[in-house]
Amino acid sequence: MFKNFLPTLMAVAAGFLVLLGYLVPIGFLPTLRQVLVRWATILAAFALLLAYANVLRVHIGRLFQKRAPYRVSSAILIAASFAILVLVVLEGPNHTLVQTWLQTVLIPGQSALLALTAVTLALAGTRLLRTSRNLYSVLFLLGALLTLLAAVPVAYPPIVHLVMQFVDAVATGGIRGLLLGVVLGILMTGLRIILGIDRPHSGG
Amino acid sequence: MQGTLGIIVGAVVTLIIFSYLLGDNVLYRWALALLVGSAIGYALGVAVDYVREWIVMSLLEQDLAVSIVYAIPLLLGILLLLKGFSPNRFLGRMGIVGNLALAYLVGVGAAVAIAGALMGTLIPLVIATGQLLDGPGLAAVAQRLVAAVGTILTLLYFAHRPRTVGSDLEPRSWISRSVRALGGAFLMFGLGTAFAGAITSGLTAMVIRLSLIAELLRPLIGQ
Repeated sequence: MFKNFLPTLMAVAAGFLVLLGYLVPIGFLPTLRQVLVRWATILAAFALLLAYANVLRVHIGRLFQKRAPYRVSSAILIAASFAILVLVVLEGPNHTLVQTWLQTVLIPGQSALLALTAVTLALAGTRLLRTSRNLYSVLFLLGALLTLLAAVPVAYPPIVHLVMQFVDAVATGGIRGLLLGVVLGILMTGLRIILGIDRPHSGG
Repeated sequence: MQGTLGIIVGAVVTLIIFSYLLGDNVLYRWALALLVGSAIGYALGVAVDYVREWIVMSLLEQDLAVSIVYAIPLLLGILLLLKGFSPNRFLGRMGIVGNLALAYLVGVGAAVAIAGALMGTLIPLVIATGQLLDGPGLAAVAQRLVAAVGTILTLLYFAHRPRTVGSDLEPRSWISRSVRALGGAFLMFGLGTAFAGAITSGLTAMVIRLSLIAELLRPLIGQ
């Protein structure tokens, strides 16, 4: 009963009510939708707690393993997460210390990682033709090169502008088609859950 | 003073992360652990803060019906936490009840995803693709036509993927093969531009980080 029937009933009922609240905004439905979505955000916070417990379990286990690689990394991860967690819980997310930590460590570190991604991507792009030499790879690199060239602030002749506009049109077509495909996939997956065909909550 | 110290710390973190360009090293891994730990701690702290506010509101509420509205997600949350215990223990065996909370989360998530996909992406994209076809000038109309045809061909690329019959590929007509080839061409070109966009964003971040470090070093080298 708790394995399959009740959870499926719960997912179908909650999903239908929330979807109705979005698509048929009349009467009490929008208010009900807001309440149900807020409940879900509270539940998501509990899920985050569960995820943190799992992270701790893995990394504390690593600390006590002999010859385990990355023991210091695990110790740093646990210490940093715990310190920030305590600070945010005791003082709130807007406290000066928390904000200073974010501004001096987290944001510079994450933008440095993003910068590193640029180098990694550029290297991967140069290796593409070595690993798969076909027309699609050529088109992929051509699209990337033309876009990078268009980003260079140079006074190109008018004919280049016209070509660039067509390049833009081709890229728009490709990306828009991809996005539509992704959205249709999301719709199908969501509908399968709401109709009770897929039951990821019960492992089936 | 605090501002300068902040810039120095940020610069040191940046340089340690950039040291990965010379090869994987211990300092890079430690910096990564620090960043991941800080991000996890902050995210969880904000979540705990949110739940704490919710609990305070539920305790302050005088109306019984509203109190129940506040209590339901907390009860579901506690049921969800039961799933974290080992199945060999009593609390772990009770974890199956947590499926209810998980199902609620999945159901609401699916509904929000459907609504977002429909109203935020699908309908605006279809309207934008339709609007591509009306506009002044032959060149502009041609561009819009290319974009609209590209959108349709890219969608058809996924619909015309080769299917297997047993261990062999199902034979396809030349129209199906052509549509898939053309759609794939549009898709690859589009992905190439997205790839370039990602590189540009990364380079922008790199320029910002390097210019901050240069600002820091300027007084030291006397310029």
